[in-house]
Amino acid sequence: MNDSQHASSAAAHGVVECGRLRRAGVVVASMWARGTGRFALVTLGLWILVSLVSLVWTPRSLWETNGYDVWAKPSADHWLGTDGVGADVFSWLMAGSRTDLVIVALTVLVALAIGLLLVAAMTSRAAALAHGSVVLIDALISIPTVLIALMLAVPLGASVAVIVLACGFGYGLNLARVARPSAMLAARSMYVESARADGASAMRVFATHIVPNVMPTLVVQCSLSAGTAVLAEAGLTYLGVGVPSGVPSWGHSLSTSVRFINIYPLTVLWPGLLVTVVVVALNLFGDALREAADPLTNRDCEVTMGVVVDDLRVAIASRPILHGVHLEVRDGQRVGLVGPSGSGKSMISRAIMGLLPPTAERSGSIELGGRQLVGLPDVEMAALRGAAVGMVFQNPGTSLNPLLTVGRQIALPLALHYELTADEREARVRAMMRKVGLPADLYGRRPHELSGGQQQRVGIATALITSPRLIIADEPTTALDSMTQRQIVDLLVSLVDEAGAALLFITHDFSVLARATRYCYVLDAGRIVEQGRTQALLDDPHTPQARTLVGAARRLTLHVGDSHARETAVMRETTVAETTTEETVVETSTTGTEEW
Amino acid sequence: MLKYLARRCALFALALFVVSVVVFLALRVLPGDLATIMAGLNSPPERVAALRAELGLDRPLVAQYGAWIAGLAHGDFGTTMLTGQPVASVVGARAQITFPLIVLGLLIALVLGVPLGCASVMAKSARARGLYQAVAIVGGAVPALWAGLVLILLFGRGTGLLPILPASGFPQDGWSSPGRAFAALVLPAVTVGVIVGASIMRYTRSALQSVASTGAIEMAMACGMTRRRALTHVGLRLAMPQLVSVVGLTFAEMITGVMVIENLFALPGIGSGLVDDLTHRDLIAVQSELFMLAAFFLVIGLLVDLTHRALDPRLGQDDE
Repeated sequence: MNDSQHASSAAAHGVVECGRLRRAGVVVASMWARGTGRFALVTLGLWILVSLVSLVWTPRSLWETNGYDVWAKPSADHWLGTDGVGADVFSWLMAGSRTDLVIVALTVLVALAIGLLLVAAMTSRAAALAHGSVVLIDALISIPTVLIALMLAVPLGASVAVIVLACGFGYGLNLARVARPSAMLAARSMYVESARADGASAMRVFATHIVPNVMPTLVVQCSLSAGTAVLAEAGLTYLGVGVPSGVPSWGHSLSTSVRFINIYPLTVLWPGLLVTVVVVALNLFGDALREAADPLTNRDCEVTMGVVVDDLRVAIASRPILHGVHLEVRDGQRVGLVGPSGSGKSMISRAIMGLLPPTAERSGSIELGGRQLVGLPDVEMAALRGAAVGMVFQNPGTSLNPLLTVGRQIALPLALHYELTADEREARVRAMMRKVGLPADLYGRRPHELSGGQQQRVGIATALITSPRLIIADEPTTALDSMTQRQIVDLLVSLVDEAGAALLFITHDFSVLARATRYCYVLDAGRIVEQGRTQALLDDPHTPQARTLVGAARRLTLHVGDSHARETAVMRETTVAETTTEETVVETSTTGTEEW
Repeated sequence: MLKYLARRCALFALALFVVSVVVFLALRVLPGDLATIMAGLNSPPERVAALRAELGLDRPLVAQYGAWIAGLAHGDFGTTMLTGQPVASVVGARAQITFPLIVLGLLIALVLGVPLGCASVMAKSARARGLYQAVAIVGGAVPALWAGLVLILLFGRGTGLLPILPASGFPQDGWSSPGRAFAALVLPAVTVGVIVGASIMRYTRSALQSVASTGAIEMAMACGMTRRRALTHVGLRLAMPQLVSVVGLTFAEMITGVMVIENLFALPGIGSGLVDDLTHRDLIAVQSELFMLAAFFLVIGLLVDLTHRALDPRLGQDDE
């Protein structure tokens, strides 16, 4: 398998080969590059620094009190003023940062330990243990942390241990639950199967395969838990079950100022502000960490009807994806757009349809029937979508609204654009269903009750119900098995031809392209690198990118070449579409003589 | 559905049992023994012994547990040491404050969080997006105590800039004067609502984004909906099961905030009652109150799961 296919099959399995975490230095550097990441790192660094310094020095002694100087305003002597007994507020907050740091660190450790233990239990091969641990987690997770803290406070009294154990336990349960999907995925992956078959012990399998896969999730959750731990400390100390009074902590500073709020309202300002800032920093730290470790958090695509796309440039969040694409699909033509994963094919389709995310910048020209689409407001684009342009998506299993029945889904474009009675709509929908080969009794069913091929027929019916002039099919067969693929492609082609519409067929698979299109563009890294008649490209690709794609198609499938005729003979018997597909098939198997 | 219902209820019963055992044992794993702690460390031994006999603490653990559970089943939650009143009625009175507070706070949180979450997904300019993110992060980082204090300083009678709402206490006659009772709950509920609202805003945003990544929103737009309509009509509706789960989770998080807020605003609710009983070492009452609170959350969890299942037809097929 070449690289692009390896990547897409791994993606299809949903498992990223573990152990490929980016190195810590790289992660920190990329966190630093963002404003929010920088803020988080600086704040947390300061926190640690101040805590260390407080061990040896604070501006005033903590135990120094002065009955004559209570509730003083900030001054050179007392940087943040004094509290109700004349002690220095700043010094107490400094010392408190030490306590909170220790509490947070211990809580995170306890949470990680419990979380990993539970993950190990959930992914173990002993079914009783695996199921039992899931049940246990579900049962215990609904118990609020503060209740656990209150219960622990009875034997232990108000103490740091109460906070650490109560919060650590709660967060550990939460960690296990959040990490469960990726852990289960990793546990069932090929890598683990083969490792076990090789005789690796359960512990080794866990450490080398499962842990790295859940680590990113766990790390982010830990930093969010750290923020919650600080808040919990404040609340629990206030309730009297947290840090004992007499030990400096932020919760202590916050709680003492509560009692005197009537006298000096501004005393609540400093501790509350400090806690808020630190918790914000911890949350931003978690977010920045997650983004730095996995830069592919956003996937966007752009796509480009009797449509002429000229010099289309698209950038997502300032990252350029398309660099001046030019392509045309004239009325009645079937044009393909092929390229490896990540080349930007889907981007073009979304650009044409106006489905780009709000963060995208688009420039250039997209003309649909002479009308300029770039710069058109969403309301006007919506009027065109589903009426002038139809789209068939790659994954009907998730694109189809699971709440709508087949009948209502196919009727949706009609309902949005035309004034028809319910009976008229139903008649058109049923006619369409017959055309795409869907049994009539599926009218009232929901998508999850249909097979993949049937779902995609629903998708095609939905796209074609309003007889649009341009149909964009974005990898419509990639999610289907190869037998169904052929049927769907043939169906789509016949319907498009019958309607005289234009088709833009997007795929990474050259073999499917040969069946569906006569002309195609090859896209690589946001640029068109080659174009020409599909069959000519198949026979003689010029650019290395095209050669790679064609080579892959040849090795994997039987569509291309002389076995084609045998295939089509078999397909004629099994194709469900009413219109004949022989003409289409014969045309694509002869070389280069037909009218373009 | 029936099979799922049966299984989920069995899980609920199991969880209830586990929680009762945990609460029971937690209060008995004590250095020293329960009677001594309850009587006070300086009490004469005769008093301790009398207390022990009275509360049945000299019987074997299993017998004590059985007696307690039997009592619960009959609605007998024990009697409070301080006043001698049955725990059930005391808790009942307290619940009339806490439960409306929670519900009101949750409503405010939903009204704030869901629209803000939607808006943050639809935001076009980087500045708008940054602003929404800042609101969500800061809202979730503020300690409940501080938020309540700030609100008191702004609106509370007696100290506030705009003294319009009561800042402490609950009317003696409870809900029989609904206007005053409600007014007493406004500031506390807004405090709860703002903090939980930040959570809900983040969860709404992430639920919408995960729905968007399935392509259902794109397809709705391809059929001819504007982005806004697709997000609100299709996206939100499909994200609802996730949001329902989230509400269930935030309920459990809320209780910490609620306890602090009840204390701050001097509301005699379940939360502050629990803290008081613990301080007074009325551990028999604490035992039943803790169990009741935990059971309340288990019930919420059960309802959330059932609603989630009812809202998402895809879950009907597989065996959980």
